[in-house]
Amino acid sequence: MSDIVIDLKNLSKTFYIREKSNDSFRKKIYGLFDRNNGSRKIEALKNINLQIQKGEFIGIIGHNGSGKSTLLKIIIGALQGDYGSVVNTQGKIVRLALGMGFDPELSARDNIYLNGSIMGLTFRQIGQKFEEIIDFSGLHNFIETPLKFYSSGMVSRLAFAIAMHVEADILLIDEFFGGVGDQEFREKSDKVFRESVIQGKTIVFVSHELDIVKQYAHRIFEITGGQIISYEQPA
Amino acid sequence: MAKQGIYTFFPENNRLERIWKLAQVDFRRRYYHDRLGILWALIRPVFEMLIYYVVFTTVFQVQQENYALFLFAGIVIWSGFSEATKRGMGLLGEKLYLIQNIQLNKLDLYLAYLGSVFMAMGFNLLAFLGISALSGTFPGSQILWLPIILAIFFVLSLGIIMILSCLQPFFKDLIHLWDIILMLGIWISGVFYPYKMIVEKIPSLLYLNPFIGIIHNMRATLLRGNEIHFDLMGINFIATIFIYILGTITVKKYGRLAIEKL
Repeated sequence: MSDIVIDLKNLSKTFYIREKSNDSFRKKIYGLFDRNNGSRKIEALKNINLQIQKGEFIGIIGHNGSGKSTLLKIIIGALQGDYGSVVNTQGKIVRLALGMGFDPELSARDNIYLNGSIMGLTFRQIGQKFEEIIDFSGLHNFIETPLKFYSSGMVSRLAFAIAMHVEADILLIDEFFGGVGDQEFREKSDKVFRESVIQGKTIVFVSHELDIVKQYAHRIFEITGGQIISYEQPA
Repeated sequence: MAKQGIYTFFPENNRLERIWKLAQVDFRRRYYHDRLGILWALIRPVFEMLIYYVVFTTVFQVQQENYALFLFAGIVIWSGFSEATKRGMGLLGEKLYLIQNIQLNKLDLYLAYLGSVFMAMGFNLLAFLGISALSGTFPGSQILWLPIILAIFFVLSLGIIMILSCLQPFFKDLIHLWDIILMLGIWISGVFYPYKMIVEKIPSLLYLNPFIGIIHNMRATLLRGNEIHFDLMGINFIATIFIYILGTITVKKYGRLAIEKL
């Protein structure tokens, strides 16, 4: 058995965007008689072939709208590729996006339990890591404060502190480090990221910035217009 | 690895805990933001009950033993269903941030959501039992059937929410149509009067509308003097399984397309 944990073959994804929205009963009925309801075809991904080995760190760079997020959504199973596309994954996948499961109305404590649970931890594990998360984020005085009163920096710190403990085999990381906290926190989080978060996991890291990706990646792919246009293997 | 959290029934993952946490958060979000909190879950059905009680006893002069409780039981079920489906049809959009970020069985989202609705309904049922204890009409051993009736109601609502939530992104105005269906439903499900009054006029409704059986049997478990209708329970059970299977197929076949539409 090979160690391929993400296997994409002939992966294409086409969206059909209707110029005229038809998402109501009235418009659907009207649409039956309207020949000119032209839908526009958008090829978000075109024939992507990519095999990722267990433990690899893959960087994917591309501009906004290049298809990076669609690719992640397909890998995680939220979207399906076009007919003929093959997507096989092995192991538990979590996509890290800052504050993805945060509820602004809830306190940090509740959000830690909610987010930790979403990321695959049991309540017991969250309980054991609770102090560590609070220590790391430096939010001791705000544990019971609803997140809506936090600054964006505080939210980012909390999100990162929780994400450090994510339980997954494959991590999909979406522009994760863009401006998280101050210089000191960045250095601290970078250290933890290298030494703990990515250890033993397969990573697909998506970013605009080649420099950040280069620091970690074994292989880097550039994606433009839904196609992989270049490939690089940093030294 | 030690993974023996109290709620971890499946040793290899935290699925049940996650469902519980999502349900709890959903519940808190709805009821814990103001001073009256969970009382709001109770105030609405109680007021509905009072209004209908006055209308039906004074204007229509309905002769029904324990009519206030009779009405309350029907309203708790119907308003629970109505709330669950109206909000539930937007569930995929509401939980898009989760669907796109973790590998998640969509069933978990539906279970968590409906779980939160049932938590609120649980408070109504407790209030019901409190009132019936005070008024000396506390149910007898027939209450042991209550979990079965609630389970049928839960799975039926689950199936309907699954179907509606996959249709809603394609038909944004579905909510208006659904409102009309709910408005009609409340009059043909025996919320205000015994089901026999409806079935005498339209016998086929007994088989076509599962809420007739659910509401009647719910009352039979909660109010003395009402017999459980086991045939109806059987019919409800079959209808529920059918709708649940239909819901599962709909989510499987159209869930991702619906998500794309959002």
